[in-house]
Formats: sequence, C-alpha cells, structure tokens
Amino acid sequence: MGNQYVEMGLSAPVNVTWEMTYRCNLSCIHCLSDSGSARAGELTTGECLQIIDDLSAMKVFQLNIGGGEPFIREDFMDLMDYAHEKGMVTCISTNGTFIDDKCADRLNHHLVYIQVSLDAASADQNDAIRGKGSFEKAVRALERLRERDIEVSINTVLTRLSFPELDQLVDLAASFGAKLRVSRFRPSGRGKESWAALNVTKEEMLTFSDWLARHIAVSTGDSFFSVSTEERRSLGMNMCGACKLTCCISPQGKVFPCAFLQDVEFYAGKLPEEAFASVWRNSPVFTSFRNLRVKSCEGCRRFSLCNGGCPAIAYHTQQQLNLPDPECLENLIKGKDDDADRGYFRFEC
Amino acid sequence: MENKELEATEKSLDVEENPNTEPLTILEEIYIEELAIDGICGVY
Amino acid sequence: MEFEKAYKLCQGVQVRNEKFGLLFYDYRGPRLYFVPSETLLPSSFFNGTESASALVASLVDANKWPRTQVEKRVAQIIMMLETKGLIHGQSIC
Repeated sequence: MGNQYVEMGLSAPVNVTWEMTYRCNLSCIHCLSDSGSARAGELTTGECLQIIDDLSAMKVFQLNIGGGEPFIREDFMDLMDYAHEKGMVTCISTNGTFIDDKCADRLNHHLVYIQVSLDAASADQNDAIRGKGSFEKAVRALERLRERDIEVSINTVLTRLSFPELDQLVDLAASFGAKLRVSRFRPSGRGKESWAALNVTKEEMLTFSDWLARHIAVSTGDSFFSVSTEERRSLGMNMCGACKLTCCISPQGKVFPCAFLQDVEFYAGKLPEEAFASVWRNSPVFTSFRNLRVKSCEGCRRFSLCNGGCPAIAYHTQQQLNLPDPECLENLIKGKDDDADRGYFRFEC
Repeated sequence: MENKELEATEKSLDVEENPNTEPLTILEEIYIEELAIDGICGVY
Repeated sequence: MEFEKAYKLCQGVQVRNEKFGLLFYDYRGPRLYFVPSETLLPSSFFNGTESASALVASLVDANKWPRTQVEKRVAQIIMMLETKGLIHGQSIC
C-alpha cells in the first residue's frame, strides 16, 4: 500500500502545517480552527524561531502556514524571513486583508507561495461565508500579488454554497494568473456546527468528482482522493499523509497528526520544550497513526486510488479513525438511490 | 566493441582490482520513484 | 554527464539523506523523488564543491569497491537526476 519508501518511515516530514495564531479578523462560518481571539499560551517570537531552527535541522522542506490569519502576528514577516534564510519554502494561507503594497513587496521572494481564501466568485456569496467586505479585500490582495508576479493560488472550501460557483472560480483564478485549489470541508472547529447545513449532498459530491476529472488544472491539496478518478491518479497523493509525510503544529506549539485532528486524544507533543525529532520519531500517537489500516476497504476495487480515504472525516463522522471515508466514490455510487442526506452519510462496507 | 565484450572486459578488470567478486548491491542499477504531491492533506 | 564537473541543485529543489538514500523535493511540481542510492551519494555532494570524479575516488578509497562499477553507478544516478531537472553540472574553478 502506498509508496515503499514512505512506508519505511521518513526521517522527517516533507512539510509541516503550522497554524501560527488563533487570532483572526474574520469569522468564517466553516473555520476549521474556530479562530477569532488569541488564546493563552500562543508561541512567542523566540519560541517560533526555536521551532524553525528545529525543523530546519531535520531538513523539513516546506512550511504550510495558516492560522487564524498569520499576517495578524506582528512578527510574522520576520518569522517568514527566518524560515527563508534556512532554505525552507513557505506556503502561506491568508484571507488577504493585510496584504497592502508594503506587505506585497516583502512577499516577492522565490521561496514564497501565497494562497488567498475565497469561497465564491461573487461578493454576495463569498461574504455570506467569510464576512462583509472580505471578497473585495481578497481581490485587492490578488491584484497586488499579480502585479509583482508572486506565485499565488485561490483556495476554496467545497460547500453547498461554493459548489455552484466552481466554473466561475476557475475563471476568476485565471484572471489573476492564479491556480484554483478546492479543498475539502471537514467537520472540525466551527465546521462541526455548520457541517450539516453546508456540506455538499451525495449528488453534488458525485458531480464534483466528475468535474474534477474534467478540470485537471484544478488542484485539491491532496484532500479529495476519496473521490478521485483515474484521470487524476498521477496528480497527487492517493492516501493520507499524516504522520508519514506531514503533521501539524498548533499556535500553542502542540503537535498533532494533521490540522483536522487537534482533539486531545491526538496530542503528540509540545514544542519547543520537546525536540521535534523526538515527537516525530517516538510519539505513540504517531506510531499508531502510521499503523492505521482501514481493513474494510482493502478488498475494494478503488483501494489503490483511495486507501480508505480521509481518517479525519471518518473520525468526526463516525468517532473512529479506521473506518471508511463516508464520502468515498464507491459508497456514493452505491448509495445513490438512498434518500438524500446532507451531513452524515449512510454508507455500506 | 560489442556490449557483451565490453561487459566481459569490465568484469575481468573488476576481478583484477577486487578479487572478491561478491555482488555489491549498493552498486546495482537503481530506479527513482516519483510521487506527485499537492500540499499533502490540503488545507494550506 | 561529466566526471570533472560538480553538480548543484536546480532552483526550487531541495534534497536530504534518508535511510534508503536521497529524497529530493521539487517545489515546481511539486514532486518527491525517492532515490535508493543508499550511502553512495551524500546530500552534501549537491553543494557543488566536489567533482564527481573526486566523489568516485573517495568511494573507491574508503570501500575498496571496483572503480568501473562505482563510476557506472554514480554516472547513472547523476544522469537520471539531470534528466529530471533536479541538478545541473558546473565547472569547479
């Protein structure tokens, strides 16, 4: 299953998702981190620099930075510069509201990639999810980044509201010379409360799978492999990379398998007090995750394309990691004639 | 020179340089495996 | 591929040692490349300060491996990495 060298165990992650703060100036209704105000124990500048040193020593290639809103940290640009001095790529996810000309100038660096969040191609629809005025500010940020030829993508969370706007989002991204990335909505953070109302229906997910097959240039951040078809097999990963190729650091320095599994039972360690190498190599949580198998999926004809799907979705919908992803293509097709059910899917193993 | 002759020549030279002719797996032909990725778990 | 050249990473490419050999990361894909070269080429070789011939000489001296086999294998790996756009050769001044 998977890549033999990955299964052997890598000495370090390829990238690390680092949520640098819980603070955010927006209140998106699906926020996976339930961001808003700062929380006690958020890492200081010195602690962040130590962690960057630690990750660099292990030769982590890339930081995927988010939050909250990372640019809200007063020291963020300095932290970003320091990561670049160490040779690390920074892929920064932002709502764009802080990207003025001065900020955009500083982002003009070959190790910087920016992802601006937009959840619709129109202000009305987008602002219903992300807050009034957020669309306009994101578009201004995209304009500034485009003027400087900075590598940028638009990130959209697939919901019932963004689903009808996908074609327009492709066009919008193209108008800025940007890539479109559609990422998966998961019931974590504020997403737990909005999941039932916002998650796509089975029919919509099936349509989306077909749409993805016809839009090879749209990326998914390796989040939709449970519905990926053969056309997309070579475009990205077809399995969960948590604890094998990636992991997550919270704003308080806590380490978890991924950004969607920050519940207390998945806590793996605390930086910078503990060495990241020790957490990566020895954490019982990580060891358990690496041995995770979705046995009920192993006989499925799609197993090599999906490997059981996303454990985080399995966990949040069924309270267990090692169960099939309820939104897998095989189960969606089998359950097509069942009553429409948005939110918690019925599935068959 | 034909390929087979070349291989035979190489082998005889190798024996002269290193009388221990046990195969060295580290020197066997290798294949690079590639893996396309896109964020790995797709948030940021 | 030329043995008298040194080889450096192309822009956008990083490399590190792993127990199977080398792991390359090319952000331009993005793509990972798993090179099962064991201890043959250290990641430091791609700093571009040492020629391929010097590397071969040090491997032969340290391990008493047959020179022709070492040259063949080092050349194969370097050519594959060059073809994939991960490294480029440069003269050492």
